[in-house]
Amino acid sequence: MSAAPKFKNNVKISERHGAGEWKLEKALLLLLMPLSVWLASTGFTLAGADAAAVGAWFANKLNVGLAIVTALAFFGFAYLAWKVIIEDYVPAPSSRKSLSLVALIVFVVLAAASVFFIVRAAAALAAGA
Amino acid sequence: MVQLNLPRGSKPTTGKVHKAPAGAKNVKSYKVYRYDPEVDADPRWDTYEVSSDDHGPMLLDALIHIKNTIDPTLSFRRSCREGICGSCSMNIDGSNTLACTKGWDECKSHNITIAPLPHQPVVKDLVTDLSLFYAQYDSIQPYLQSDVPDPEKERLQTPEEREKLDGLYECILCACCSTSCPSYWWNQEEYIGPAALLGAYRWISDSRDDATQKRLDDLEDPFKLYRCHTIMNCAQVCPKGLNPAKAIAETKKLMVAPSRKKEKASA
Repeated sequence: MSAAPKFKNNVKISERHGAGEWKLEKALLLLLMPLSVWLASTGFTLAGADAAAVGAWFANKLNVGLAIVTALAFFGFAYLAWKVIIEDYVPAPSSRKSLSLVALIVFVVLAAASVFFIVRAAAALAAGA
Repeated sequence: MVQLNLPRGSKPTTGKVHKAPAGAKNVKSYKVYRYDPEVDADPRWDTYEVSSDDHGPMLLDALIHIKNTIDPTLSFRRSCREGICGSCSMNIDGSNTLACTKGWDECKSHNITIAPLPHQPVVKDLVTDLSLFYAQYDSIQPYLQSDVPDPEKERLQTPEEREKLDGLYECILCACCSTSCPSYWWNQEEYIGPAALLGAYRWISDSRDDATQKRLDDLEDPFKLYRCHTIMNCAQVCPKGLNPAKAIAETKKLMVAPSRKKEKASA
């Protein structure tokens, strides 16, 4: 993360980065489009299903893998989106930096927790199946 | 910069009402922002009732009529009166435009509100301080930078190369786009705004210019360029019908183009 911005004739001097973040944001968005459709269709399929059907769904490694990728892509995108909101609305560079760090920690924790529970649920259901 | 409380001089009060003479026909009412920061504690809305029969068809004609016959203290910029100089840009009925190309009969409301360009320091009445806007335009180095020595005659372009500049070179720097952009309102100290970015892309697209990679390097910044969230107000208000948002999107695409990576690495 950058320090306080530098200016020349009241105009900011380029930090020479930003394209990477923009590209990552668009890539995650593209990835989330099919994954969201897949997640929604899974929700419809499993709604009202019995434990055996859910266990069979979790026994499929492709499903577990896609669920993990969806969680990581979602929280990654959510972090980038929150970072943009913070940068838009928080004027002081030090506050921006602190709040962006808080957002990063929150979304890393949420992503890690999601992966942990998906893997744990898959293991538990596979053992019970 | 984002502020929760409005700064001094941001809450207009009700000002004077200049009634139309008795018997006047086709009367329109102009509610005009009045503020002299050196004298007034707060801005005010003065209302001028004017017969449309007494002046020309454009809002600038109405303003000139008001200044000449009703209130000579009213300040506004104007010059060419034909949409070329960009001097008379202001906020009319909630939308930035040029007073010289906007007809008073285009305004649906009977009471037409005229205010200075939003989120700019007011010098007086409808005149705003555009120093930062011009500094931002200056920062993109809006001139040809070529590695080729000056030829004896002009630098030639193919018709296709020249065509790429259409929709880019026509900008008159009226500031309607930048001052209608919420991202510019919030972060104009760091985001250089649609007008400057349109100008930058005009030179990036120019086949005769050899400073493309340097221009892109100078723009690559989370704030200078990437504060554009494609809100599209810039394209909606541009009195010349240009689309700065598209130029910004094209610049963003060039930033991540494979050719740029290669040149960056070899630089």
